[in-house]
Amino acid sequence: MTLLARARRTPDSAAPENGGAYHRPLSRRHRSESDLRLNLVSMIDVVFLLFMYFLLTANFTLGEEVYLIDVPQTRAAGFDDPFELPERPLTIRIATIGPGAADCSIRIDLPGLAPTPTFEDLFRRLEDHRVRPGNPTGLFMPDNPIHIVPTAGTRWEHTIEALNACLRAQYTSVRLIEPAAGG
Amino acid sequence: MNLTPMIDMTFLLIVFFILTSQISNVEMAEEIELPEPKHSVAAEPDEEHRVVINLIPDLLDKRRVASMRLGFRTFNADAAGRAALRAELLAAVQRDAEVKIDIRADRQASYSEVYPILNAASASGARRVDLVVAASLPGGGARLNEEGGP
Repeated sequence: MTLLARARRTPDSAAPENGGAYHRPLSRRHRSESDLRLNLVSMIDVVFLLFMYFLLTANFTLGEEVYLIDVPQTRAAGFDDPFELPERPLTIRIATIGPGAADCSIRIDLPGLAPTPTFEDLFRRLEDHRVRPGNPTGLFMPDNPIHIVPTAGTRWEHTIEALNACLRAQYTSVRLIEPAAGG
Repeated sequence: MNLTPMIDMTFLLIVFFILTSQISNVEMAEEIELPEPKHSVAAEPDEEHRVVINLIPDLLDKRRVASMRLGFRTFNADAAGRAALRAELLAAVQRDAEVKIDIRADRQASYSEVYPILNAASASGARRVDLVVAASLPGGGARLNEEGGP
């Protein structure tokens, strides 16, 4: 039998020549069920693509924050007012005196001012001395330069605490100065 | 099920994770325990044009800085290493004038160990030098605005 003749035969009525049975075609009901079956491969492809998209676009929080510090070179490039009076910086000297987080000596270079025991006190004193609408008798303008002078052995966490206290008291020109001898 | 595209995608994901994990290792040295100031007024870091210097502490004495890491490069914490780091920072600023330098130092590090790096970063002519600290808890204090003022 030729191939053409085989194709013209209806499968239901045809008997196999070799004694075997022809496969019955799927009924309409069965065919529609097979058409509705989901193709998992393409779904998984799309899910992976979406996953990658979200990974790339997500903003991973590092759990970190930053302090901006004064960069002298940037300042020097600016316009200097020849009539501007030089402002005397307020100097804060700090030194680590023990292993604890609170073991730090803090001193503001102001005559008659006792050392501040904690960084919270440093913040309060700085805030009390800042000129602001509610405090016209304050000593320092917010842009008054503040120099933090840690000793060589001062721990970085204490330096950062001092910097934080100054910025928290809303002073805008805070600089870290070369380490002082000692400590 | 056709496994080929699944395996393709899985390999792509593996490559992606390998690349990103290396980058995060370079940016964040796990040996460094950042300072965690109370009532912090630090700002959110700006990820653009960011160059991170990790000051890797000496494991035996955390007050000392054992080495400095800038990207994939590591520098010894001696005069030659600092000079090389300074040159690298200058090159980074020449490549991108908007670059800003983030310094990550351990909370136990001595100021005398950190200050030369601050100085080198300042001398490089970078637009900004930022000091990185651990993020405070939500509601821990006010935040700085864009200009750096509280």
